[in-house]
Amino acid sequence: MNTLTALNLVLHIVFGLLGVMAIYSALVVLMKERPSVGFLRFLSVSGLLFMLLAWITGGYYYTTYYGSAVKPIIKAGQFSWAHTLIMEAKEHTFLLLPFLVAVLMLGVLLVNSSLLNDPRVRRPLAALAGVAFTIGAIIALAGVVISGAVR
Amino acid sequence: MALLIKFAHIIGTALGVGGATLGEIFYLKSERDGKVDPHENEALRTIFYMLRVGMVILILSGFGYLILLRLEGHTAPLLGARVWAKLTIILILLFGVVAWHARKVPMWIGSAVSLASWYAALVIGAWRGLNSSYLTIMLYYLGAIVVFAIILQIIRWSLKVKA
Repeated sequence: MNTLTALNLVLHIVFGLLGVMAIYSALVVLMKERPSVGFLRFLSVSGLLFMLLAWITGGYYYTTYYGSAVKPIIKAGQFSWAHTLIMEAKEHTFLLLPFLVAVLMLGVLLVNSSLLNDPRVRRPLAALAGVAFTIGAIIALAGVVISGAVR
Repeated sequence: MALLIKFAHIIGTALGVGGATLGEIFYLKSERDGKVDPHENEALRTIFYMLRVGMVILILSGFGYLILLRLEGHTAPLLGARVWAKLTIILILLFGVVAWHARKVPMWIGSAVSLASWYAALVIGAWRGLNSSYLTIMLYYLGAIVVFAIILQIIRWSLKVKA
């Protein structure tokens, strides 16, 4: 792995983690009775931004390195399911995540500030953030499994 | 870089364990007189902020460790029991916070899970030669939750008796 590819992998992981953390923080803020609207907006925008950056760096890593250098090693090893099951699921689920986060961000940005205090608005947004966080956490754990299978 | 990640991981764990312990002490003290005065409230807010910072540092540095292992080609620990037990415990801690905010878990369970999780993360991280299975580690963790719940309940009872 050359330096650029290694940097790309590191950035993919760091952006993904920051995105998941931002969505988790948004979820916790949304569960408060009086959420800080400014902070919530910052979290939802940065969540989407980090998810998109993780998407781009992950896509670049997959097409330029993973497919040709990592996948054959995993498939030939004792943990071939890490690619055929985990990676296949990860790459397809990951396509959905930025759209979920974009919906959350639009919901937070477009809704009137005072409406965010209304549980009928806040709870569905919190549920959406909860689903996005759960998927994001599973994707992060899937990445650990796939990395562990490279041997 | 490895040293920086190690220091960050230690700092994150120390902030988390210290924050969870101090938070519980302040909460129990405020429970003794039945109200949270402004000074105690301010202290609790600071402690919870410290906890959140600790958690962020712990997660980022923890994944930093995993990235280093991957880049250096030492990938076996990534599928090991220690790493997965710690990841599971951190996830339980994170979902516990959400459940507590949603008022789906009572305070006494939330406190026990928080304390047991932070101390478990400390012990698993520090115990380099730990060679137990994932199931064994998780069973000890569940046992630790029960022990913390009992200890906290005893402290609450004794505080009420004294008050």
